[in-house]
Amino acid sequence: MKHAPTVAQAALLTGLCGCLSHRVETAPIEVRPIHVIVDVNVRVQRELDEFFDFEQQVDPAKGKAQPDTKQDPETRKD
Amino acid sequence: MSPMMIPCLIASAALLLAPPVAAQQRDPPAKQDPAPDPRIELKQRMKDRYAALETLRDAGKVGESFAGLAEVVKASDAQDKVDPKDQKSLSLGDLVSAENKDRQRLYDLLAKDLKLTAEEVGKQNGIRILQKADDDHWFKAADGRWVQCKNVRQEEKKPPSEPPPPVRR
Repeated sequence: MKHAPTVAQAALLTGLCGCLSHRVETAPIEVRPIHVIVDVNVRVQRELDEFFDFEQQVDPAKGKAQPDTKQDPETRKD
Repeated sequence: MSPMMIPCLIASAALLLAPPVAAQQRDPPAKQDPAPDPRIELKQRMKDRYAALETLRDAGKVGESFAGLAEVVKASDAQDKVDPKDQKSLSLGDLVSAENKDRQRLYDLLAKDLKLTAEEVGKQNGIRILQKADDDHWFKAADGRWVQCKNVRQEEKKPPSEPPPPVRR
């Protein structure tokens, strides 16, 4: 009975905690796609591809899929 | 010919031959090595950085801009170490700055060769990176928004309409 007030206080606090509610409202996240107009300059792309050829060498070790450079012989236009 | 003339002839022949030899020794032909291509050094440095940058791009910490430059996606990550286990490693911000410095130098060199502006070359590299990027990689749009590659819809610019080629008969 000595601890009765302490127990009562603890019970009261626990009960009050149950009454508290914490609500976080998040705005709906909407990811809208962006449109980019790509104006490819073939000459510059060729120079850049040549310079960054090491990216092709590094990627296979990482297990990334490489762009298929082989052309289907049936669709190839000669 | 008297025997006395023989040493005289030898001496005069030696005198005649000596100056060119001495000149050769004094002035060795100056070999002018062609200036080393600065792109070789740039390429090596960028190659060394590539794996770390790709890992950071995969982790969503580093993204690319359409200007062809790398950027730290969250400014608060800029002080993080590239290798968290190694406190001596570069910070993300330093790595990105070093990469951009080299890219800018490359764009300047290519622009000079191709008679374009460095900005145009940078944009072309931005397009190149976008086209080979993973879906989860981040790109910074022109308005400053970060978007993942999967949310970027690319439209090719239509070339100006050309008159149809004349039909040969």
